[in-house]
Amino acid sequence: MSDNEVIRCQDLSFSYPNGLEALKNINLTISRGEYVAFVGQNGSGKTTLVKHFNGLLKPTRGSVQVFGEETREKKVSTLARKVGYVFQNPDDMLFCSSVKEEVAYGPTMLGFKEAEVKEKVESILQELGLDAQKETHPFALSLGDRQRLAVACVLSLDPEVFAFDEPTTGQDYFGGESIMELIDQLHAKGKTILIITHDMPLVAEHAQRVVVINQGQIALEGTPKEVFSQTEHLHTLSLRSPQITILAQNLGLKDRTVLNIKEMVEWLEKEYLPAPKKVKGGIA
Amino acid sequence: MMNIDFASLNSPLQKLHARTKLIALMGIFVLALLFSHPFYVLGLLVLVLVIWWIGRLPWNLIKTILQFLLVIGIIILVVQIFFYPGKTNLVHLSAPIKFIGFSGYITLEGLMFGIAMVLRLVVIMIVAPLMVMTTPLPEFMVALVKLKVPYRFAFIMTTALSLLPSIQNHASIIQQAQLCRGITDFENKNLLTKLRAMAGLLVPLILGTFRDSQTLDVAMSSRAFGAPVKRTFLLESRLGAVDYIILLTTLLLLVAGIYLRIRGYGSL
Repeated sequence: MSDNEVIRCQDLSFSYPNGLEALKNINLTISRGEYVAFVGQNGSGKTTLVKHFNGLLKPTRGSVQVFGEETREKKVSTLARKVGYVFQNPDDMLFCSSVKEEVAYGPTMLGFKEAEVKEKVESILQELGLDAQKETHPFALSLGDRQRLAVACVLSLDPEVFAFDEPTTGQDYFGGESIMELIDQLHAKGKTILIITHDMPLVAEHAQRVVVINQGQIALEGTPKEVFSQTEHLHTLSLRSPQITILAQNLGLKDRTVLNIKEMVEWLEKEYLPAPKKVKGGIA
Repeated sequence: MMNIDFASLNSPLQKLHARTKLIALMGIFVLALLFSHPFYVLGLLVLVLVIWWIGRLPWNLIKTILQFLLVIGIIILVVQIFFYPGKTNLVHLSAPIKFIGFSGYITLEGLMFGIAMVLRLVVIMIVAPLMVMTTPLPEFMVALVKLKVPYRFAFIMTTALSLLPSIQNHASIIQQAQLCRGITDFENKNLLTKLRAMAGLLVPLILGTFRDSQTLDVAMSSRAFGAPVKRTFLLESRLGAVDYIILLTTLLLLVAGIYLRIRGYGSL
């Protein structure tokens, strides 16, 4: 295992106690600082796979190594300090009576000194824009803020890798944008980001690498451009490239893949508009 | 709580009418409460175990129930030993403790009564799965309503039963979520530490269950629950020959039990 590798799965297979084989022979390596999106239809096994990265699930066959250590031999609470996992529903993670206490809980459990905990809590709440609500009861926060708080709780353990299970589901547009901005910030700080989602434009916009899971196996893997260029193949996996990508393909752009409006406009301007006109309000 | 898989259970008890099972269940309850002599309650326990065997229910479920009852069983036993006014002294423990009426001796009667009470609890606890695990909930509800249990009450009972697996599922997700927050206490061997960790589990679980029940309330109202008309039932079925045999046996056992008790048997 090279220094740069954070997670390595070798022939990972997993069956649930009821006999359902959820993962079959997964081989996957994730390097430090990557931004990986896991996509696939419901029940494909993407959450099951990611839950192996912090030991919530242990392989039935094969192995999962996190920072060179077998997860089989590690406790979840130990691995949680290396791989943070933010659940889809923030309400499952919150149980204290104020935002401040909630963030302090993890570090206190890990035996940090009171002054250290306090400093940590202050800086995290400031960073996530929750400092004005530090005395508020978590359940009095909006869904978007509860999601941020759940991230804060994981952030307080200072893991190297962050896994997000459908972070934008159920959020309004700005809520989703704001959580994605937060994730991008973590990535910019050098954290490794894993994200499980159904939102293809989000994948196109943010991820560096896409892993498509289908029936417990890796069906497709590559950069967003490589994966979304295979619209037909994705369709057989019950997935759809972003609309803008399909539009460009339908307009006859074959040699490269368009992932967002900006790229689309650039291409259109180059091909069809000799004298580009600036649009008021800017282009995405 | 086990996940109930009716299809793979393949139990002869599934063929019985829900009303038959419910009446037989109540019969066994009454018999268990009627007797306070350990030998009689033990007899009843053997009967229930035979039904368990015929019903092909998983034996490890009994193990789980017994583990669950262990602490409360010990408490009952100890309390009876101390409080039951027995005559035959067995072991001398301490000086008499007047204000609780303890003579200072463990008595044979106290011990026997304690054992009978524990066995009674075991019977009552293991007889319930015989019904619950072999009866689809809609049938169970219709049986309750046909036995003149008010519809709303029957609905509450069956809903509570049907919610158990989903609550259990939610609890395990919450536990995973908390482990991800670095909370080590679930993995701790110390029971007290584990119990403390439960607080973190219960808050989201209870709040979540409240939220779910509110949703259920809206869903039910929008589907005409409690409409002020006489409702019909989708499931209508008649009792078969085996049902009548079992009902008759239950009746005979009850009559025999009551007769024995009147004649002074079955108690200490």
